[in-house]
Amino acid sequence: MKKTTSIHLAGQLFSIDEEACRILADYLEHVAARFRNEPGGEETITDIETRIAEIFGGGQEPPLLVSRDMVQRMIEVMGAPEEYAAAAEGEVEPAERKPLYDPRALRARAGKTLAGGWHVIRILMAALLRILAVLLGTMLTIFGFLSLFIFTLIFFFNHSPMVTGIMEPNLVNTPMLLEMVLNPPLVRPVLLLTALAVLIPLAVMTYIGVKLIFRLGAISKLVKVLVFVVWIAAVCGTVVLISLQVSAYGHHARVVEKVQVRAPLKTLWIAPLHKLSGVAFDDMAAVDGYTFRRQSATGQLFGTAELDIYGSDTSAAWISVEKMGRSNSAEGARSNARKVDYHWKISRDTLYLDEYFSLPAGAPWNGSSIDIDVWLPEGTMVRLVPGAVLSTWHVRCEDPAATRFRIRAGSLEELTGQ
Amino acid sequence: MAAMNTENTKAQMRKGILEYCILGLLLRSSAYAVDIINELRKAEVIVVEGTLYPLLTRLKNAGLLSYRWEESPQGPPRKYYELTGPGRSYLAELDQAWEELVDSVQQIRAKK
Repeated sequence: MKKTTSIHLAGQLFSIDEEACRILADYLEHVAARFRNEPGGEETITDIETRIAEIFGGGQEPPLLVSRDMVQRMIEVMGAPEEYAAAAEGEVEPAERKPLYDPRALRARAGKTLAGGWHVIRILMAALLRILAVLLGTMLTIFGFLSLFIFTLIFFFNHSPMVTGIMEPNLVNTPMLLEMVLNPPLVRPVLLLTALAVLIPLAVMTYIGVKLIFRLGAISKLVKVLVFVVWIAAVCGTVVLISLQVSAYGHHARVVEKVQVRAPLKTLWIAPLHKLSGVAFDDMAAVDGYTFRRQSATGQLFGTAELDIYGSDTSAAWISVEKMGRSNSAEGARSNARKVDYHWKISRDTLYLDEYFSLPAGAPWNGSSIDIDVWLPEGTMVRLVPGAVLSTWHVRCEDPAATRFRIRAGSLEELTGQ
Repeated sequence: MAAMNTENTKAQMRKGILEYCILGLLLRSSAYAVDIINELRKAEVIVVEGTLYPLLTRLKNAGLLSYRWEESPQGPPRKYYELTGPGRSYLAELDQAWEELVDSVQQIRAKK
């Protein structure tokens, strides 16, 4: 199959095969050389180009493919530039006219050699650009398709057991997370608009990648405009809906309970007070390690508390439990913070902590959280009672099953062995 | 060789009257370049189309022709050429010159 290229001739688009293009370019160069420096020469050149476009049948959609035969027929009709230029000048044609082009001349041979070299360079450049286009297209296709696939799962199939198994504990049950932070009637519209805002660019990226690889034709402008309008509408809709909801979290308040452990501690034992296994829930969502559970019947939410253990500057041990709530007013935030239900106690050398906090039945999340901070003197051992794991309170350990720790250099050090 | 010289002389004679023929055609009505070419071809005054375009430009630049744009059923708008006032006067002079030339030739031929 012959390679073709696109050219504009007198403002009209043509497809033309490479050999025909070369002959046509030579011809037009001759025409230009003949008339370029004459009064009105540019106009003559334009008129000739317009007539050539007409001979080729320009103005058709899709553009016609111009072959070598068509170019040669055109030259027969129009004549060689050296044939007709003399008439314009009013010259009398000599009986034996010196040809415009002498193939034996040094400059002609040099031109041929350079043209040949340039032709090879053009082929190499075209091949190189094609390889780059395929590589770029492959990258865009793979990245776009994988992202599209992953985000489609996140948005629409997040709660399915298969996806939950893969995503847990980083992101589970997006719809429930949205229901916790948004008004329930807005969850579906926000989910749909966010999905459109994210998925459309990824779909476009995938399409561009496939187009680069397989040289697909351009899609219609109407489709492009439609997709762009839908995307802009989705982005604006998402921003507006979420902004309206975010105002409900504008103020925050903390209710802090802090105690000092008077008896000197060599070891602090940590034990669960109320265990998660005792909570009846039928829906669960998680994001970045924070897990929420919900009883569908009552709408009651259960969240996990966060524990941080630090080295103390003094020889005293301190325990602080902070309840946080958010609302659109300071008073509302304080009220929400107080509504967070969390139990803990220190008894001799054992710190009892609930494995979860709960909110009143039917109450929305409102940014509620529990932060437990423990300051222990240098060298204090921290141990877990059998069955307890620190990750329950978001303490990150190299060994999730580790049960022995020590305060060293101001921070919690994990100890190996029993 | 004799045949080639005859062709060359005929070509030069055709070139000599080309401007006159173009102006004569445009006296009847304004015309698009391709219409002019077709008429000249029929009369065997022109062989290749390319000859016409530089001539039209030259005649227009001399103020003998003007053109207007008209929409085309296919492709870009077309230039329709027409004679100007000076063009008509010039053509009248050429008509007279042509008559004189024909007379002169006939007189010369008759004396043979």
